[in-house]
Amino acid sequence: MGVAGLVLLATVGVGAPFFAPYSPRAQDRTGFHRPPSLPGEGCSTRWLARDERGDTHLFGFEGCRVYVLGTDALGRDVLSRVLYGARVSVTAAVLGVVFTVSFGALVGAAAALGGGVWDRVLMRGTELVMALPALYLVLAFRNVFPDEITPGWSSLILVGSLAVVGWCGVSRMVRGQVLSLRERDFVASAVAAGAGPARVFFRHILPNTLPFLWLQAGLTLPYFLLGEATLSFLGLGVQEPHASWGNMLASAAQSYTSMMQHWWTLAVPGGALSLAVLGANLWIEGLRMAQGSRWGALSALGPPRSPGILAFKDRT
Amino acid sequence: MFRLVLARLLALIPLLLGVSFVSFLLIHLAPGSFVDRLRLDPGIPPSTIEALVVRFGLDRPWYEQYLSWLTGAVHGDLGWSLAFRRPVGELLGGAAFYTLALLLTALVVSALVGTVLGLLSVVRPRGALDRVFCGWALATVSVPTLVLALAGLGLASATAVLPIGGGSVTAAVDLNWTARATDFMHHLLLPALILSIATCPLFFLQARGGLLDVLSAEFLWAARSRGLSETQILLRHSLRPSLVPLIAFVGASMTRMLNSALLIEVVVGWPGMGRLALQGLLARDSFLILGVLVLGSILVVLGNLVTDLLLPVADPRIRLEEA
Repeated sequence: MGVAGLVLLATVGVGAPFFAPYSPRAQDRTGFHRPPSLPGEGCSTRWLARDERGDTHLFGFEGCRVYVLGTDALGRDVLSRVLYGARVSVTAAVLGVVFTVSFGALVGAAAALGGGVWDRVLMRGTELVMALPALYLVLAFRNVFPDEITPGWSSLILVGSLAVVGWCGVSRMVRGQVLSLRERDFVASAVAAGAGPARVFFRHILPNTLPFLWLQAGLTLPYFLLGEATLSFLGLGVQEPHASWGNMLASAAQSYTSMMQHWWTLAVPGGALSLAVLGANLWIEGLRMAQGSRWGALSALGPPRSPGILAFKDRT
Repeated sequence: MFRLVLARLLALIPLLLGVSFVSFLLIHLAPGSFVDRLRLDPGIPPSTIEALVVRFGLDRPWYEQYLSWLTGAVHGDLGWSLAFRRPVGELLGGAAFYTLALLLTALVVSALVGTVLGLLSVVRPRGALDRVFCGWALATVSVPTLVLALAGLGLASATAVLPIGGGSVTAAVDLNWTARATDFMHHLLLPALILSIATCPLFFLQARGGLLDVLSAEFLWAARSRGLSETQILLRHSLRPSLVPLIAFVGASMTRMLNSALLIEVVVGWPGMGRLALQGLLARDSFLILGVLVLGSILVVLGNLVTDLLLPVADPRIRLEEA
């Protein structure tokens, strides 16, 4: 279920121009802060509609402008902006996870296999980074780059700033895994059979850390989703007029006296972010269950297992 | 015990050196500085700005600046905040008080509530209560602190039950200390509530997992065979060993809580360290940023130390070694 949600998120993000009924920047100067509405009288919904520029959209409206999820303070369609925002989130998450997990795994493996001085230097380095409160450090890293940058660069810098902190945890975990795998019998037998260090690592140790790396990927996914939104919210990530869930939240929260009157400007990006993180969390729980963890949060929601697993259930 | 604490505190020194050095480099690499912004203002004569640069030694090479900051810091002088025009130490002291009040309140509330909910849900695993709590935890864990904080802010402003922004009313200086303390608590309520809601499900899941692990242990068979009631088994025999992973988790979640606290402080306007850090970063106030980063890492390390010291209380078999 979690995976399905994430796939949906990715599809929506990649296909944002198709799924979104309007451009994320198009302003309706007659309708600021319009509440969500459905097409009414004299208004028809067209599936696979073409707009004036000839691009096809999943749906459009004829004879009127309808905002299914309302408009924001500048009269822009919230639905379209959320869909385009998914793009940013997906890019940040995918880039971030791939970079963090591969770099963390490399450093961890290098520390474990290199041993000695290498090990000590690398691990002291990760300790140093982990001693700093993560978000403070991310902000400081982000600060190294200018505030206003082009959107293409901004996503890279954003991911970079987040990844600088993110790889440490992964590399420590991988180091532990590799150290324990290295002592196992099958490695000794591979060495005895004449395999070189490279072959031992890539053919015997690396494949065995894979399930574990998947779990790490799952764990870093919400970190990047949230990190992107946080930085954009603080005005250090994706800037207006480009849409991201974080800067949508920021513009919704500009006036907290009217925030609750225009609840949809807050609820829609907030809900999208929560659903994306929920998807990631469900995926992690699924992975954990598949890897034999018995007491994850999901285990309570599933069907009851046969009695006898829980010793104290036998008491009656 | 004493030697252990001493050894750990001594190990802090190289760490803090590293942290301050890395932070200093980062700040130095950042483009633009506080005085660059002043230069943009035609109302400030260049001679004033030059005097400022010379006074704070900003014209010297970076390693000299770092060394002079370090000498000052060792003597208890953390430098001068250019943006706030006050000593960094004074600013940090005030902000740290607010952040610690927020963190500790939320920590106590969410750890207590989380443990109680955990106990309730393991009475009958996969029972109705367990399902409701786990569903709630999974849903709440997924709602980002940012969204929670914004929702809390919106609700508070719409209902006008709780004060928003700041740590006290403007007239607080005229109040006596009891009224001041009540006022402080009143202002603390909203950020602490938001942080507790955000962290409580984490503690709940941890407590539940720990309890379930203990409940399948064999020594409970012995306890049960002596005819102890299930309540006694749960409260007197299972709770204490299950606290070990929970306490370790608290230590590990110190940075996570500081992150959440930063967001809540920024959103709700609680005058803590996170807000100060962001203000300092946006103003390129280098000494302030340096101070906040160093203080933040001290908090993280101290948090870990305190949880390490608490572990033997929960499980006397754990012996702390001087590593």
